[in-house]
Amino acid sequence: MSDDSSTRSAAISAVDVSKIYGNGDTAVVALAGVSLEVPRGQFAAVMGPSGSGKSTLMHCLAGLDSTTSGSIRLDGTEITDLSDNKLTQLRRDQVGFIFQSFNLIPTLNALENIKLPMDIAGQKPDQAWLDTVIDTVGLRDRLTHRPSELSGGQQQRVAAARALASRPTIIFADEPTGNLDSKSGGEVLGFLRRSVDELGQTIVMVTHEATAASYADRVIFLADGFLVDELFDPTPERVFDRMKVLDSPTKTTG
Amino acid sequence: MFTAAFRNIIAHRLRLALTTLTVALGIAFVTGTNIFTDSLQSSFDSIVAQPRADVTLAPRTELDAPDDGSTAVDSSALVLPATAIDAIGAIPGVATAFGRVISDDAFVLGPDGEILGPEGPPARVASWVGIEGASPLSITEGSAPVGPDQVAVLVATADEGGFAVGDQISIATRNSGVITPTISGLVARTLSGGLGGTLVVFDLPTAQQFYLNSDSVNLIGVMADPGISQDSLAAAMTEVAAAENLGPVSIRTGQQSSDEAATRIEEGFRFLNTFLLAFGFLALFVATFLIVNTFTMLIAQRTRELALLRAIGASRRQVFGSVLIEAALIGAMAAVIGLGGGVLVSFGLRALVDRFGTTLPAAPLVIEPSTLILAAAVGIGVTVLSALGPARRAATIAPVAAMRADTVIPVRSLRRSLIIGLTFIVIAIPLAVLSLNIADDEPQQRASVLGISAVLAIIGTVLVTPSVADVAFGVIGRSYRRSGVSKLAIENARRNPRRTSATASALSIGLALMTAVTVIGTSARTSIGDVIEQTIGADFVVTNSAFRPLDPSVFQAIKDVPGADVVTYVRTVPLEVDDERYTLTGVEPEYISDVVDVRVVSGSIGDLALGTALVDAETADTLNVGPGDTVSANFVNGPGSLRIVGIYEPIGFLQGFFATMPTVMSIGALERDTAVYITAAETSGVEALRTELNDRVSAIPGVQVQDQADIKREINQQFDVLFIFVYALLGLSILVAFLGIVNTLSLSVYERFREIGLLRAVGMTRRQIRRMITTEALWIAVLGTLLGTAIGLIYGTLFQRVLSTEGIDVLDIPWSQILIFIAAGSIGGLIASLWPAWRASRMRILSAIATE
Repeated sequence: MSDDSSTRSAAISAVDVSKIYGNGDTAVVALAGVSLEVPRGQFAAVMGPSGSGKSTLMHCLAGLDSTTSGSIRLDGTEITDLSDNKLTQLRRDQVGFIFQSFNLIPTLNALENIKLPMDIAGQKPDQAWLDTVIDTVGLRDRLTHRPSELSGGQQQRVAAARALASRPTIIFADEPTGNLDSKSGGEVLGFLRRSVDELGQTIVMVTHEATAASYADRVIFLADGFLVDELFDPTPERVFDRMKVLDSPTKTTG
Repeated sequence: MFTAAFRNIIAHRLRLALTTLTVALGIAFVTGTNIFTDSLQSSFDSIVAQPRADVTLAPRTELDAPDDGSTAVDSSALVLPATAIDAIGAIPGVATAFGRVISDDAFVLGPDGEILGPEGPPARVASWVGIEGASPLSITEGSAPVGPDQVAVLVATADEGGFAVGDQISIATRNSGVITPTISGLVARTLSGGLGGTLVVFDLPTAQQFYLNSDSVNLIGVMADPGISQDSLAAAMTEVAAAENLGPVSIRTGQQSSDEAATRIEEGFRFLNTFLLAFGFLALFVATFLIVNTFTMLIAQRTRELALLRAIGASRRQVFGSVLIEAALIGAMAAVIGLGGGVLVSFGLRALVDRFGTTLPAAPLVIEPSTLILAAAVGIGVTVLSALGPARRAATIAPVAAMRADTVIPVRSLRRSLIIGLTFIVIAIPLAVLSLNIADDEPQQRASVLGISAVLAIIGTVLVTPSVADVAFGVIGRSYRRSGVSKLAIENARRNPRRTSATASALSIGLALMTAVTVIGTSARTSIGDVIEQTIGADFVVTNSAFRPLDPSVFQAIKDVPGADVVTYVRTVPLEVDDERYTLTGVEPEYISDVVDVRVVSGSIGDLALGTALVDAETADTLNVGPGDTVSANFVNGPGSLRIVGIYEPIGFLQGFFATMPTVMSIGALERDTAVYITAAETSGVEALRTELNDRVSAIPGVQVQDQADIKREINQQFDVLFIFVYALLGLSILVAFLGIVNTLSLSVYERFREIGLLRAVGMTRRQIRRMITTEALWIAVLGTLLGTAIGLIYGTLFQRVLSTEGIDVLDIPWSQILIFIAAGSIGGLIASLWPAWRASRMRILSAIATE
């Protein structure tokens, strides 16, 4: 992370975020005071063993889950105390999502799925931008197909296009290649990389694959709810080495 | 497998609760009807073996069979001389002979001076018998009436008017106007004593004074000495009646009366039973759609679980069986709940009959084994049969489905049901055409053929609905440019056309019947109204409000009313030609054309003379007679003949024979008028005339002055009661259909929880989610409502055409009412979706999108 980046210009910043499920003896600490900042235009990967809190972190950052304490600012807006409606609006307008599976509405075709957040909002999509996105993901000949007529990789690319289409401040990708073979996975990751390089998109991706993480600018390592390490300009080998270290002391199950 | 089935029910109890409830509703109605009638049957002996005279002797007309209780004319006008009581009493073996006065023109005035239940059944009066075991009436409070200042009244009558023993009560009598005796006691009557209306009881001399005269009675009853058979007494009485020149009489033993009462009551309840059962089974039929939906969806949701069962070694048969066992358990549960509801329904029916003023014997609650079997058979049968299809599909799930992450039940092609459905419709059309072309004089056959056509059309429509939903929703769906909430809603409705159409069809069926009944009923109402308009040229008609004939004093009271141009009366008397009964209407030929529009085709009313008659064209056709021919007929006073001098065009109820008053009197008509018609001398004097007429008849109880509008209003009210009754019964199946919408949507919401989570994640607000679900429900309801009303309109119209020869000759489609049905059906669907929509909007996003 560069030193001159201020909170104001960060796409997202988290300060001392903790998340505790349950209370008393049965309390489970999922996040134990995590602070981080993702500047605009950065592709950040979040890694960690199962149960490390990486998914919880992403859900909290994306306004899908509430935090127990701490502050999260998305594009400068504090989101931890927003109402459900405001949060929904924020997700719609400023956040893009790519999930591991079940990313698309089965009754809508590819193009309709891509435009979905804008249609929900009743906004008119920017046609030029939409064309750019569609061409970048290379789906032009598949636009009228329904999800059931698309391959897994194509479905994830549609999901990626949807995430990009509304020009969100940030895209959260949760194991976007978890269900894909390596070739399709590579295509999707390559596309994410390009959207950062060519379109200036900010992306936070949760993954457990070293190869996937190596596409990012920066890898954040989580373990037992703590941010334990960071790595810039990762290669699969370096990520893998760090992961081995993290995995060895406490073996948790997911 | 049994354990697995049982565990599934426990696991899905919420989802199955609605299904169980709908089946239980139908069962409650069906078993309630049975429990009610069975309970009455159990006390049937007490109904039938009630106190009654051993033998009764009543006057009759020549048209009546000697042992028939009813008469062709107003029986209260037929009397026996009181002297006959002594002659009968002198027969050896007769312990007591007593006379009775029985009539139905004792109008009880309520506290407000209005007649109690003026539109209702008759205002009965009877004389108190006071002989142990000779009458179905019994005193429940106070004492029997003695003398002209005392009266006993029916418990229900006292309740309605708020009277108690010791109160004074106003009763309008035939001979003495309004009297105000004191209530000496309250009486109860059993079922064979009649249903509804009011009843007052005087002692015999008082009743004679108010209704006949001291020399006459309406009926003579006898009680036999011990050991004397009813039959031998009846035979002896027949001889005495002949010897005393009592004229034609009807002599009936107590046994005969009991048997007839038993048959009548049994038939009455069988009819009621069948009628109510029909609506119960309709609701159950509608419920089957819901059950099919529920099981199909539960199985779809459990695909992996069932596949796992298969993978670990369960056979297809076992999977199939487990689903059926599950269905059977639900059916059994519904049967138990339904049976409980049935007890309540039976109490409700009992309360309803009690309200009509008949004290039913305190029957124990009887739940016959047959009712238990029915509940179980219907409950389990309906659910298991409905679950057969889904169970078969469950059995075909491949074990490998357990390993797949996202299993999709293959959508079966709609083509097969489309083809079968179209076939049904294609058969229904020529049947409908055929029904319209069957000869006019076979209305029953026409209606039956059309009925079959209607059933085929409904089944056909139900089968075609998935394709209709697919195409219609597809077209509407494509018309949306944006994939917002509305588009998603319609795509959801279209996603599983079978499910959507099953839900919609459940609604269609009730609405189709409701619409058809409304079209036919309204057409009938309008047809009658039109006939009234076409035929009644009089400004006012004076009649008895209980459809009884008028005493001639009414005509005397108004014949010289100022401001009237014509005041004329008509009398009717039945006659029989070729064993068919017709009505002969006696008119004053010089006036009748002024008040009734008789369209004479040949001959002239003015030509009528003693022994001649006009007849309507249809009857003339049937009897194959024309002007100049003589018709042999049985009259109430014996056989005779009428010469036809003219033909007129029948309009609605205006049909049968017309003759002059002397002719009518010569063939045995009573000195009673059916109606008095009045026309005003000047249009400007109509209202003054109305006031004057009302003044003159106000003292005569039960007599009303009506103009055309009043008559129509009265008819409309009667139809309204009918509509409300039928709507209430059809409401049961419509309620089931709405529960079906709740159920289907709840299950779909559950099924689509990940999708809903995704929508929430990408920015759909809770409100938008709710709107999406309610819009989907709205589409389903609109589909069901439109198809239902369309079928109802088509077949309502066709039935009107078929019944046009039966007096429903005008088609009147109440569009505003139909629109209300459509709106209500759609809004009902919307309301039914509120709960599932709320649940969907509250779904936790994380649990929906979490992959682990």
